[in-house]
Amino acid sequence: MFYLWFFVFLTLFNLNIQVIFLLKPIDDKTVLWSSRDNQYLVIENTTALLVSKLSKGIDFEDISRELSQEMSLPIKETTDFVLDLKKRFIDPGPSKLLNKPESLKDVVVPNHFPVEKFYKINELVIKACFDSQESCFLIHPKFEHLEVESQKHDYCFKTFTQDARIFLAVEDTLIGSWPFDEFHYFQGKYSMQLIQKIHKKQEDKWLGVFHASAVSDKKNAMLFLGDSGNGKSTSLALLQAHGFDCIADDFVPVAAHSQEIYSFPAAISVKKTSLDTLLPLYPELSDSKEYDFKVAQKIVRYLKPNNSDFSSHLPCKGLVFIKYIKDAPLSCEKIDKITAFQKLVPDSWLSPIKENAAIFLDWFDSLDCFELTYSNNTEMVAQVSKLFRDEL
Amino acid sequence: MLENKETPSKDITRKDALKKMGSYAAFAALGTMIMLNPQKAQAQSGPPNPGFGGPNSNVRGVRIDRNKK
Repeated sequence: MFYLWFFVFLTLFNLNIQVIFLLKPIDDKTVLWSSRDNQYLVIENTTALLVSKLSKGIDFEDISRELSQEMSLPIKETTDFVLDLKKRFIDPGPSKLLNKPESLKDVVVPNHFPVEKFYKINELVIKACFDSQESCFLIHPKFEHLEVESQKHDYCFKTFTQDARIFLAVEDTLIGSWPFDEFHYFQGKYSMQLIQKIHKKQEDKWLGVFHASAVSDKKNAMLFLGDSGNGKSTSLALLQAHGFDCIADDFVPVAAHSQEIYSFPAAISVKKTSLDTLLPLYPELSDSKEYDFKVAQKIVRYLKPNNSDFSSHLPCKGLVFIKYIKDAPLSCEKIDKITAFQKLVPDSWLSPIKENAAIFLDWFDSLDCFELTYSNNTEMVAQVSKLFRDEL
Repeated sequence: MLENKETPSKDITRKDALKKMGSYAAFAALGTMIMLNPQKAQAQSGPPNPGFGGPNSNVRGVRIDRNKK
């Protein structure tokens, strides 16, 4: 059986575009990353070898013949398969990522903003300007706990709307624009710009941003992942009430050079359905503002994170796929990496830069992955403590 | 009337048939691929469609300030 124990950087020239593949064995499969669409494929190790050979320019007929002999199969069958691989990987159509970047050159950043907020994050002061209460509403609730009086600021973030699009400018540089129904990408870019300023790292220095909650025991951090409604934020609030630190909620950045989890200062969103659980631990929630996202039928309040050092960053000890199920007994077990990989990737932003993709694959392979199902909060907290102490 | 014809056994033995089936199963597995696309950009979770700024913008989120007297 063939195994690739190291990354193989494969390059091919197709339509004058350099396409790079990374191959990384994980468990009993190979993960193939393609720079063409920043896409990850989980494939068999033998298939990875065939793609590798095709990329090196080895004739498909030779590859088919060898495969036919190896597997004792008719040459026609193996030739069809190898040709399919060639078509998919070596001679694909135009990339989806080759769309032209949007043109922002005719957009004029307004001079006047009726809504202004100032946020203090460690020693950094951000002035956030909005052209309406509606645009302010997209950002402010999560950062309200950082609000300070008007003062000298380090950076000015400007949000405005034109022609049914939301625009973001930092200082006077336009960062991008998004149609109204893609406002979550606007919020994501806003947060990305914030972490660049807080941690002094440009976008290419980040490995990825994960849709997760991150907690720490002050030495290491763990990521809690799961579909919306599985209890990521609630478990984060429970854990921070029991001695753990909140590193980030909903938007967890990981740096490429150190693969450490970096702090993100947004508040923890608490759904109405979690209030009864959290009110005894956080009496302040009873008086906090409530935001009613009517279409989503989601009513949330925001809970200030207990970590006030938003410059912190810690190594990641593992990934925990958490699930709250009413009346379920506690269960926590290690899961195989390919299963975890399939859950992780579609919900994450991963850097499209090849060096970062290589680091991501290595980093992921080094992590332990767990699935934790619970209904009893005390048991869940005790179980997470055990995970931090390697006592599963 | 149907005739009960026996399949000639001289072409392939049971052992060979099993071996061949195994080869085909392994070969079919080679074509199994799981395609995973990360998010196209950084995103934050939020209400799926707040109707922000649109013609029917009364569906956008509402802040309820319980502290206000």
